[in-house]
This record gives sequence, structure tokens and C-alpha cells, in this order.
Amino acid sequence: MSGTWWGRTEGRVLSGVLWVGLAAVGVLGVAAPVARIAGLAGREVRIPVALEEAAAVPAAAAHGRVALEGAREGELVVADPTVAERVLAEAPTLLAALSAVAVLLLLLRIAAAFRKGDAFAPGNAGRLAAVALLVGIGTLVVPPVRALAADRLAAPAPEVEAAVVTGFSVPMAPLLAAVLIAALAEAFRYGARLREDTEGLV
Amino acid sequence: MPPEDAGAITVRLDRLLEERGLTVTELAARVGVTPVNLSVLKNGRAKAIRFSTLSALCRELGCRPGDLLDYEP
Repeated sequence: MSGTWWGRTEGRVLSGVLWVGLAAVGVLGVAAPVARIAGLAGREVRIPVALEEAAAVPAAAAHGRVALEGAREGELVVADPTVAERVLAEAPTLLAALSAVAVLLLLLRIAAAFRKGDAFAPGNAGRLAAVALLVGIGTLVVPPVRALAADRLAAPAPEVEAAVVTGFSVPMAPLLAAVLIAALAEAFRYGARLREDTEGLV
Repeated sequence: MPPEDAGAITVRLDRLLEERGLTVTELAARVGVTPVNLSVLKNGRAKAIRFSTLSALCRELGCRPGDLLDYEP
């Protein structure tokens, strides 16, 4: 892009960073949970949970196969989990990771257009809008799924269930980011229109 | 009339270049546009022309906009 500091090197660096991110999310966020669901990574599942402050939780509350470790924030540990319990435990991570993979793939397509010096290429505005939608939906969906998983996994142990906070709150920062990305998508849509107007201009 | 129908504008740059004994490259250098862009204009593939480009072309070719552009309904 002549007249700007953004060049081929910056474009390659951006693509490289996105590929590294994609690989990391693929391994840690998708492959690892799938392996845990398949039972290839131990004979227990662990999910982070918030603990009721009022609840007098012993250092390590346990009821049968289900145990609770920690004071205010702890880990819900289910020994010898069933397949359904494994899926429940990994669902929030998998959902978040699959959203992240989709976002990264879209960003890679946008980065490819940047590398060619054509930021306002047709389709980039739509891709950014899709990124905003994925971030927004992910932010809204993952917390209730995490709460549902904690609730269902703790259900067999009443003492543990009473100590675990099963409510959820939606984080505002990612929602704000989604709104900003949607605004950026609109700016790209406008840019694409301007690009179309100036195409063939001498 | 929608802008898409502006195809009836024709550019007579070819004839003017021949009459003045100029090449596209020479005129492009004088006008301050790239030879590629001037070829786009010469071959009728341009969708729009800047007033500054039109002025420079008229200055260098010693003509008026009407000598350069024509409209065929």
C-alpha cells in the first residue's frame, strides 16, 4: 500500500501471528478437549468454578466421585466421568475455541487482502461483520454453557452443588469489542463503496 | 440516468495523440499520470476522469474538453 507504513513485511508478520494463534487454539482449545472427551487424558475431568462465599466449604469437599478443591475459586473434579460428563465439562472450552478458530480463519482472509494492498477488497466488510457476530455470540453463549456444565456436573453431590456458584455474568469487554468490530465492518463497507467508485478513475 | 449508462462517452485521445505526434508515454509524463492510466483512458476503459487530469490533458494537447470527449446518445 503506497503512502502508508503498512507493507508486505507487516502483512506477512500479521499472517504469521494469526497462523501461530490458529495452531495454538487448534491444539489447546480443540484437540486437547477432544482428547479429554475421548478419555485419552486421564480418568477425571476438572472445570474451574466460582464458590459461594457464605458456604462453609471444607478444604476439599467430596461426595462420592465428585470433589471440590479451593476456597473462593476452585476446580470441580469429577472422577471416572461418563462421556456425557466429559462433553459437558469440555463444551465451554470447545465452543470458545471453535469460535476463535472461525474468527482467526476470517482474519487470515482479511490479512491476505492486506498483503495484496487491497484492504477494501469485496468481502472484507462481510468477514469483519462475521467476526463481530462470532465474538458477540461467543461472549453471550459461553458463560451460560459454563454455568450449566458446573450445575449439571455438581448435581450428583448436594454439598458440592450448594457451594458452587451456578449463576453467570456476561463479560462486558468482549461485548464492547464486538460492537467496535461491527463499527469497523461498517467503515470497511463504506471503504469498499469508495473503492468501487474510484475504480477506473484516471 | 443511472451512472452505469455513462458508457456513451467516448475519448478521442487516440486521434489527438496522432495529430500531435505524441506517444502515450510522453503525454503521461507531461500530464503527471501513469502510462497505464492514460492507456485506460485512451482505450475507453476509464469510468471517470478527474478535472485535474482533464485540465492537464487540454493544456498539453492544446485543446478543449469537447475535443477530447464526445457523447453518443
